[in-house]
Amino acid sequence: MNQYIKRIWASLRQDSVVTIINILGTALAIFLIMIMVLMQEVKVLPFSPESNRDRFLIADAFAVEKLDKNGMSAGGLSEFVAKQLYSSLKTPEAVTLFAVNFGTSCLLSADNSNPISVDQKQTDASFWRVFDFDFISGKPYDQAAFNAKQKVLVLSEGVARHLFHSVNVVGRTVEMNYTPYTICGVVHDVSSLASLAYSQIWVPYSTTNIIKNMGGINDMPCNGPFHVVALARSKSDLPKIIQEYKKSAAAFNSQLKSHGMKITDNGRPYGIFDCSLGAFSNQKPDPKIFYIREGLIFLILLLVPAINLSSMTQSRLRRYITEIGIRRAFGCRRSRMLTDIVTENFILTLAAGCIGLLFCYLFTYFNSDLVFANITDYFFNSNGHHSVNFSLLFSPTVFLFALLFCFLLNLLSSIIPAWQASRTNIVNALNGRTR
Amino acid sequence: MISLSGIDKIYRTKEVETQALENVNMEVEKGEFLSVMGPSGCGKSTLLNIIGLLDTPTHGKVILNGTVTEGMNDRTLAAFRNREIGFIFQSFHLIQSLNVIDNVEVPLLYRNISAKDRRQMAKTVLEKVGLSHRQHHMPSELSGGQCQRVAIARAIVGNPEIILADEPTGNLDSKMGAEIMDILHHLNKDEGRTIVMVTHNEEQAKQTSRIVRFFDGRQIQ
Repeated sequence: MNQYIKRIWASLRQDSVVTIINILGTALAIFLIMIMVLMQEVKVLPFSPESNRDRFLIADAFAVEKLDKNGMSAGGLSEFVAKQLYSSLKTPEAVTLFAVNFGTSCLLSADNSNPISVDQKQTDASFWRVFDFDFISGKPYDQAAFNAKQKVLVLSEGVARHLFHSVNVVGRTVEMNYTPYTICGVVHDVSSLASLAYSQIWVPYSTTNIIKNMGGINDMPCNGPFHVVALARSKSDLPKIIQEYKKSAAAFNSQLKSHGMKITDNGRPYGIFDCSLGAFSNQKPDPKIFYIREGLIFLILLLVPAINLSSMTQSRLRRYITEIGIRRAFGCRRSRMLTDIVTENFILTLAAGCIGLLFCYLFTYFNSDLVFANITDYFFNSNGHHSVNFSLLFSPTVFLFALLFCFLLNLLSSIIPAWQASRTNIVNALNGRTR
Repeated sequence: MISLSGIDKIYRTKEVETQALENVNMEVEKGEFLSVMGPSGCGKSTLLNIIGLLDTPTHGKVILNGTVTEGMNDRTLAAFRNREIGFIFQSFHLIQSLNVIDNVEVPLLYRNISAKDRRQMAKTVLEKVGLSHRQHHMPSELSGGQCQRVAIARAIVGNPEIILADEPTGNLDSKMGAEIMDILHHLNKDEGRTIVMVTHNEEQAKQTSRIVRFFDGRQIQ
């Protein structure tokens, strides 16, 4: 290892401009690739309040169709359907139903001040068991409050500060869409990257008229604004929950049969990865297409710099061809020479990769709204910020991806020049000739 | 120790074919100090490269220390060079990015020797060539004679039986050249190493045990 470091240090001293350009080029490539990786990873990696993402099963849509194929309705779930399909499940630790307000945020005001527009989520009481919110003060509404249709709500820290210049506001009253609600808790602001849990205020859906706004066919209120998240006790429970759900769906279908209908869930509920692929209500996500698309993007992002870096590596090796000749004359095998060159290049790529990853972290941290602009749905989350926390950035998966891409970039950029250099005739190499 | 029989070396390009060596037959005994002389371009260095297994003959057989080298793969050739042969070049061929002691250690990197032992062995040979006080200097900080002494230390650090020297004093003034020749004679007489040296210097050649002369790729004496 010492020899490699010495070699790299020497190359840095002797060819500082070329080596620095080489490092920066590699760093830029890794930076771009890691931005792409992070854009996907934020959809699946766990972070508060979605720390249990790997134990989630999500049903964000379904379709109901007439048995005579003369009609179909697809979209979110109605409360009726969500309860029929999911509320009876026994295996999950908790199942939550929550609704997103289509199209508009709600208006919130305090002490007769001008109302502000905030994102609202209407939930059941189990919502607070499925997602791990960080309460600054107060507590979430419970099942009793939900059942009693108590007009209580949970506020985000940002909204509390905006309205009251304080987070100690539990017990105070706000007007949500001109209806008085009592604040029962205040939570830390939630990044809109946590798209399931995100909102600025959370209210029991039993206190609103949302369940009246259901659509469907044959007078059956099938579609609505509800999403369902089932939290498994452990990852190994996920298949059991799906099996249990299938029984529940079959039972529901036999009920629907008398109405001339059946449900089509397209494989839902999905795990967090399938859900992140973002299929339409009546479509199934296709991981194969995702992998091909991502693979092609990464390949292009790797190949373009690799070709440039390859020619730089080649020109660098040309300058060291005599040294290669000397080493070969004194007993270095071709394979060892090849390994040495690739390893030396890998150390250089790794150093550049660290710089690239650092750039990526800083850029992402300080420009998260720009980087993740097209990830979350502004239709639902119009006021939120795409803030990322460091625990997400420093996840082992991100490091592993960075290491993998460094390795690939190194291999792509150095293997051909290294192969050629290691196979140069020794006498020619000693005389400074590459052929 | 070294046996060459029927060695031809022909360089071919699309346009021309050049015969660098023609039917060379030569025996070098163990412990011999052989000088190879001849005008520029007569094939002396080609001969040395073939003996040193840096290049392969077009025809003919090379036997080194009883081993037929024909058909050896890269792995075996590299190991053989590393173990049996030490090279000294006219232009020293020191690695400019490494200091003196690291340069001397180069042949030992390709053996299973610990870093500590490598360092000790390199120090020992540097003492032998009188350069232990320069071990942490870079080659650019040394005189030509000192560089060649480092090159000699590198050539002998692995304790090879054969030393191949390609005009080792060609880039040195007479005083430094004489110093290098003294070291080579010491390695030959006191340590029993077999040396084949290419030289243009008649005086230095006369000090060796035998002279062979080449002209246009053929051995004429």
